[in-house]
Amino acid sequence: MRLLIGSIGAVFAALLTLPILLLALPFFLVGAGQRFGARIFERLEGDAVTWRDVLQYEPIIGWKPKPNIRARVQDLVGNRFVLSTGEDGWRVSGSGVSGKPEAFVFGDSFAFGFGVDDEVFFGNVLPDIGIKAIGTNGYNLVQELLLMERYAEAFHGGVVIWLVYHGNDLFENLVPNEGQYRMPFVRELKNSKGWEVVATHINPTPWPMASMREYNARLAEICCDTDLSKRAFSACDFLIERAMEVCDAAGARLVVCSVPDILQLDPAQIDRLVKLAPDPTSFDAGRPDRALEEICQRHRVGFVTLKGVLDPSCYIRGEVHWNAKGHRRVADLISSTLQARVDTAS
Amino acid sequence: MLVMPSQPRKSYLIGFTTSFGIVTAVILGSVAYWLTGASAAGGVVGLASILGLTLIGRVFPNAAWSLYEGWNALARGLAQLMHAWIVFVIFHVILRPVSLIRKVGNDGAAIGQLTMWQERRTLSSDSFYGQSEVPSALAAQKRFWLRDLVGWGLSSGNSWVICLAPFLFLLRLTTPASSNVVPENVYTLY
Repeated sequence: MRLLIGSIGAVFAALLTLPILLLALPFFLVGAGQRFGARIFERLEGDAVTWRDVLQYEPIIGWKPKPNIRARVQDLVGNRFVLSTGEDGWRVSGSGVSGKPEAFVFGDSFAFGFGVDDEVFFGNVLPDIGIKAIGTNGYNLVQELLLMERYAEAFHGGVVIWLVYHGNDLFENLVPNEGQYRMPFVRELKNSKGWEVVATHINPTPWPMASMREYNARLAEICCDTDLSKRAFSACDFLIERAMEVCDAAGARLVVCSVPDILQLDPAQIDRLVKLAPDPTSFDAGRPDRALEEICQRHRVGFVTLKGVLDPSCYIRGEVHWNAKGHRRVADLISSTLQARVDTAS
Repeated sequence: MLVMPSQPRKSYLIGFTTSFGIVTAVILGSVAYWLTGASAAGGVVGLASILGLTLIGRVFPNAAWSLYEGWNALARGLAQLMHAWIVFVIFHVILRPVSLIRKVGNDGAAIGQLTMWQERRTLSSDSFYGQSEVPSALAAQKRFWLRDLVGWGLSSGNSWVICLAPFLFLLRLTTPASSNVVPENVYTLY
């Protein structure tokens, strides 16, 4: 009896559902086709390897890309891109007409060209200029400084461009880990006598307190007049001064290139940051830029910001990294920085 | 199925423009055929629709993304409406009559004894803390839900639940995929 009533009810229910089903039919067809098409496209593109296949543990620095690989990997939203590394493990880039790098770009995933194929990576779009990019995912400024010291001999006569990303660099200089991965950091000396680089804890075992990082909240805090902000820029002061000493000793010019997060650039997204600010009255999205510029002026280090160079259209949609257009603009900026050096010298 | 992923992945956009182009081509081609009576006209309009949309996707990716998001917003609204309507219909048109029959019919005596509650056997009771890390049969249950539903209906004398199956299937199609917000800390390193 219940089956009979249920069946009759189901027939009526089907009749009542039919109009809305017909209305939804184009949406069902497009949705199903979209999934099928996306799957075919991804299959044609080829499978991506994981980042574990690309990066490996490196003593002192923490981690580094593996040498001589060519791999397809995924960005943060799942787009696939192809990257190649050279014998030294860094992203392959053009050697320019002189056959040796004129610009050495240090940084994190931005310097590694995260999210774009080799041919549109900023190190490869201007064939006349030799650009050596040194850096990979998740690096902080301390790791980059240690690498600068390692490669200093090669800098003579060149320009060292240091990408300082506001999204995580400023905060992560102060902490010993990124998730489960150990990384060098700077520690304040007792009685505020300065800072020191700490790398004694670096080993391949997972960091025991791998809490989740709330990068946007930390960036919002740094954009306010807070203790974290003061500590972060004090650490930057120490790091930039040391980098300047390394470059001066090597006969190279250091230029700090400030890289704002897309949240700071996109008026449509800046509210997200403001909502996270612990002190909204002192919130200023331009604070990191101004603080870094002041530090650079004090140490007579070149300073450029990407704030006026990039706009939201230069970023991968839904991502924090640059797209091909962003890489092109950064390459042009590097070119003009090199040109400025030539003009100054002459 | 109705709602597309909100993650702005290139392959999703390509899948969408192709799929949208084909569906638009079929609809516009059919309209052109119906108006002119010439199959060639329908074919030309359909082909032009596909080419036009593909061109928009290639030359103006931002416009294509806007189309994707607009279409998805409509799909999401429709999915919510459909979901609410189907739940309303199956409750009032299937479940209520069946329940009424049980109350007035011979099954009334069994109501007090019959319960749908079942002891959970997938995990021991002391392992509830952090159970998301413990492999359980939940994933399998999610995958073979129709088989389980029909099996339960037949074994418990509730074969009428089979009538619910097509509607539950529709509900499943209208449920959007899980959240696609990119987490802030997503790097896997070595």
